[in-house]
Amino acid sequence: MPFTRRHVLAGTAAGLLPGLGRPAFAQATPKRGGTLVATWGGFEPQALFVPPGGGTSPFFTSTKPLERLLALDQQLKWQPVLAQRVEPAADFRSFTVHLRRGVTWHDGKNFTAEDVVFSAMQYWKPLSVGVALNALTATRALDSHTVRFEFDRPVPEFFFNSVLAGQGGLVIPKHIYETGNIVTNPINNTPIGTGPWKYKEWVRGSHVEYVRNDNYWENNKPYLDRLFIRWWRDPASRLAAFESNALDLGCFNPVPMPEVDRLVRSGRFAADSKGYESSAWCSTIEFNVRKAPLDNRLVRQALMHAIDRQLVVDTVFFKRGRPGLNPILSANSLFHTGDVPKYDFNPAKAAQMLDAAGLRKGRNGRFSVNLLAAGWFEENGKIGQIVQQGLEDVDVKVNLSVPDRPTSLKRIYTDYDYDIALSNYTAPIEAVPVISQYYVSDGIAKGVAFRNANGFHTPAMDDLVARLTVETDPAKRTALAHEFGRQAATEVPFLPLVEFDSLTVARSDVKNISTGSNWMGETWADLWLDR
Amino acid sequence: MLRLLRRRLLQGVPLILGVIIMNFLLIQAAPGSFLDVMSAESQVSDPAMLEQLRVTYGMDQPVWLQLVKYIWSVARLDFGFSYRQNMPVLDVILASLPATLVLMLASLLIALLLGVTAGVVAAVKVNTIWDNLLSFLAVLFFAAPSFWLGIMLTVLFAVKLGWVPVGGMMSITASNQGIVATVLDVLHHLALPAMALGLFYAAVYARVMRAAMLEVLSLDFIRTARAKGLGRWRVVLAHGLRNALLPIVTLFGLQFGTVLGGSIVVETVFSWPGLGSLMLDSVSSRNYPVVLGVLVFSSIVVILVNIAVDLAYLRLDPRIRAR
Amino acid sequence: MAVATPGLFRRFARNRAALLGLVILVAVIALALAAPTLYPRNPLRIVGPAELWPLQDPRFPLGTDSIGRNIAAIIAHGARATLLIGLFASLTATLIGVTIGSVAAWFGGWVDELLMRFTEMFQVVPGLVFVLTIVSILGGTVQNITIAVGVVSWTGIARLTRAEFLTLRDREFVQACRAMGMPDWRIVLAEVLPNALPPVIVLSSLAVASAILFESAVSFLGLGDPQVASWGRLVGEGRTLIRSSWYISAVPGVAIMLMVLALNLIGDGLNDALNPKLRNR
Repeated sequence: MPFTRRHVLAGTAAGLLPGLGRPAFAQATPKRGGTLVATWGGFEPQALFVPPGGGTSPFFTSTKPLERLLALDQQLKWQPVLAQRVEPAADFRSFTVHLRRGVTWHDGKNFTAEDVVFSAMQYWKPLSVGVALNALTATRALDSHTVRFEFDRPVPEFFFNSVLAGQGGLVIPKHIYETGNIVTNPINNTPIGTGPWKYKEWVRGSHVEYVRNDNYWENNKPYLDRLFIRWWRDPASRLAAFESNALDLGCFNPVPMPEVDRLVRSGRFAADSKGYESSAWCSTIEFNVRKAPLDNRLVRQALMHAIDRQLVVDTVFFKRGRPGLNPILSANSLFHTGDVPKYDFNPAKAAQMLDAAGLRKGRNGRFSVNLLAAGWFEENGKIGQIVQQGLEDVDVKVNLSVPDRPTSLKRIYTDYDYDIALSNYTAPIEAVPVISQYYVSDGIAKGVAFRNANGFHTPAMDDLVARLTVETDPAKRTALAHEFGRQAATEVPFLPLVEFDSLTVARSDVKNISTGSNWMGETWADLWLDR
Repeated sequence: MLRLLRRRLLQGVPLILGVIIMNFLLIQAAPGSFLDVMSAESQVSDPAMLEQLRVTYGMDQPVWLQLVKYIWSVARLDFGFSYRQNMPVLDVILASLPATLVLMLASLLIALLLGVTAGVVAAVKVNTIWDNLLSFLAVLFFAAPSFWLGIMLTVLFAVKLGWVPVGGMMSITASNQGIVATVLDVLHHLALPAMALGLFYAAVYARVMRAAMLEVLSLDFIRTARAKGLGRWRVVLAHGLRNALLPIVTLFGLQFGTVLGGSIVVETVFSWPGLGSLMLDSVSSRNYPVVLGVLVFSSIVVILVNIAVDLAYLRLDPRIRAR
Repeated sequence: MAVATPGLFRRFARNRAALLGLVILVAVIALALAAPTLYPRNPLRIVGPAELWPLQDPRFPLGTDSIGRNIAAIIAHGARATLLIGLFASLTATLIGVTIGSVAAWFGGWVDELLMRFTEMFQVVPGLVFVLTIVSILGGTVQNITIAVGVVSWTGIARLTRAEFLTLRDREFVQACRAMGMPDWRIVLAEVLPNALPPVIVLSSLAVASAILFESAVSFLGLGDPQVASWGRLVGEGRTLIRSSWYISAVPGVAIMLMVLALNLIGDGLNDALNPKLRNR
């Protein structure tokens, strides 16, 4: 695997010279100054910073004032942020992190190793990262700017870096959070970090205003003076805002899909599907293998053949997507493989396979299923209709329900009250544990969302994931990941039905967009306006 | 009058208690707690961590204890703490309240202006083309769902004509340009949602007004006044309007709660950042401190408005005062 | 029964607007009955290209929606759902309202006091908020929406029933029945109730209209029954496309409006016919 310490080092040197470390995006000399209004395709967050995570919206708002140790760029290379270097020990049971010097918090206090130790042990492990840090036994400050992370088993370097650059890896100030409860600290609505943007004002129901951090550690950055993040409740309103110049930039499908082409044709706007490599989304289908006849692999494979996934892509996602093949999505160029069993739309074959499984057509159909489409995305309801139609065409009776978010979560993950569920996930590049836990016996935990809810497990799969978790040789690890995709696609307990693109829409004069693999969560210090 | 006020306020207490208990139990019955939502959003996947959150949020206690604690805190005007917003519930509600009040008042104003005018005109020109046209419009707006009316108004005035914004309450830049600019900006955003919500009530008021005016116009004293040679319109305005306003005031009190409910849908259509949007978000995230808070808070407001209407009635109608 | 006086329809038909309402209602009922014949397959099936405008393709006279379903089929089948939900929600409300109102009036005293406080409790909570809460708790099936709407719509009926009962309770014919030793339940059911019903029926017919509005709002917000074709949901689903295809929202909205309009007009007509003394109201 090409992502070793050298790249982090190379990135370090480059980090001091803006424009080098970042891939060839710097078209012209960035201009200083200006105000930018940004939004995303969702709602206002419940708080600007929600320590346990809280979803995309607080992730968006919290990553402007708060920073992480590393970042994963568009080319899937590690870039230094608050860490300058990360060195694994020879046995990969510990990692030494060298921190950036001369960094201050927004309140003027110095950023030191103590902050990282506090964040790791009091925040990441118990709250935001969770199981991925199960093997972490201790974090020690070796000096004021060096921290050692110690594990009770070998940890792949890519995995460790993923934690540091991941959604749960924000570094929080010890002097503010050490007293009281991190989750309920009122400072979460007026966050203090090391980042390029300082909190100024949050007008609930409208927007949050960030102003330039003049003491930011990277010279001359951020380029902008002010950054507004504003929320509209529906895509049509965001579209109107773009057209009336009230909005410069929108992440994650801000406007109705059919309108994107029109915006881009006007020449005033650009759309970009890059910048979501480490947060790619898919809609999934899940078979509850506790229930006959879905416990039969042949039946699950047959049903996959009955669903017209291209129709889903064309009508529900307006052609911006593709049928899913592998739980490690195609946006993940490091671990994805297309060399897996595929299920094309073929009702005749599906009928034949169901016949072969002994499920012949009776007066009431072959059998009936409860189909649950999770109502957290409007699209899932529409997908539900298409899946229902496909299954009914091969004489499977379908009872479709589209419960709202809490009820969907409860029925899928707590009550296991479904036969087939249509849901979603977004996955980072690192497949362990976010994707792998859907397929292993360890992942079965009643009442815990986005885990293995279908009851599927085989010794072969458990063993494969166990090896994937501790393999420190990058090439061998990639091979294991490919094998994982093949096994998952063969067994079909849970597969991506379609992968759908996320789009960023921006005015043409907004420069340096989509420069990270999960760009919504980057600090946007390098964003500038060519006006 | 004071005695009546005190009596009505005292009657309100068990009412509010009932509302709290009813809604508390209702929400407890919901499948899926807000912890499910929170853990899912956060991708919290560690059962031990979930248990810790359950304790933090007091959800490990028996339901009746949670209820008693809640009633006790409401009595001290404390509606609990919303962990989702990380703020006291009352603050969350008060933050959304102004937007809803502005919308409601604007709608009621539109309703009163249009409704009363239409009703008076229809009654004075009874059985003419004007009467028929206005009555037709009234039944039409009385039947149109507000959310659909909102969308259609948007298509016409915002999308096709571009006169007003599609949604939101103010432009981001408005707050930097002084109070006048801000007010104008809000009014600009307010026009469509207030119409969508207000036209229904305008229709109601027009019908009531027309009927009441017809009754008043046929009364003896009006005929006398006319016979005395007073101008047609002055008669109507001086005598008719004042007497016909009684049923309107009653309706206002009765409908205050309905307008509040109606604002939920209209706020959704127009991205209006008020109680309706808050309520819908909170229902869908099972944020029950806030759901309960909004239900209880709005019930209290409705009760208070009704008491105020009773008192206003007392002033307006001398016959009742005499009793 | 007192209700079925011979001049009833004549009096109703004298209100021409009410007659128009009746015509619309009959047309909608006919459409609802014909739906399975006109569009025998599931109306929620995808049958053509998405976003075809009305009249663009003769197969889809009202066009297709955002994923290519036939809007005409959804409107026809939606008429069934709308009518059934409206009717049953109103029946539920009437049943609850009449029971509570008559019990309160008949027994009076603390029973009356208690039941009226109970009624007020439902009156002060904004109806739609309550419906949404109930529906998201019980789940968005047709039955649940019907019950939820019924549960928030009965208060007016209860108050009216109570008022009617109070005026009838002490009338001579009731006194006479008492004197004859008729049991309470027979007096209530056979004598008082039939006389109290006419104004209540007017209110019930109006409750059908408001129930339809409630249902459409619930479906519009995406909390309705996904198995059932619904006008309100179609309005909501068309919302994101108001720039290119605003007809998707417009068409079902017109259907809702006509339906509610018809019921309101009929309610007015019934009011005229059943309560001649209130004609000028």
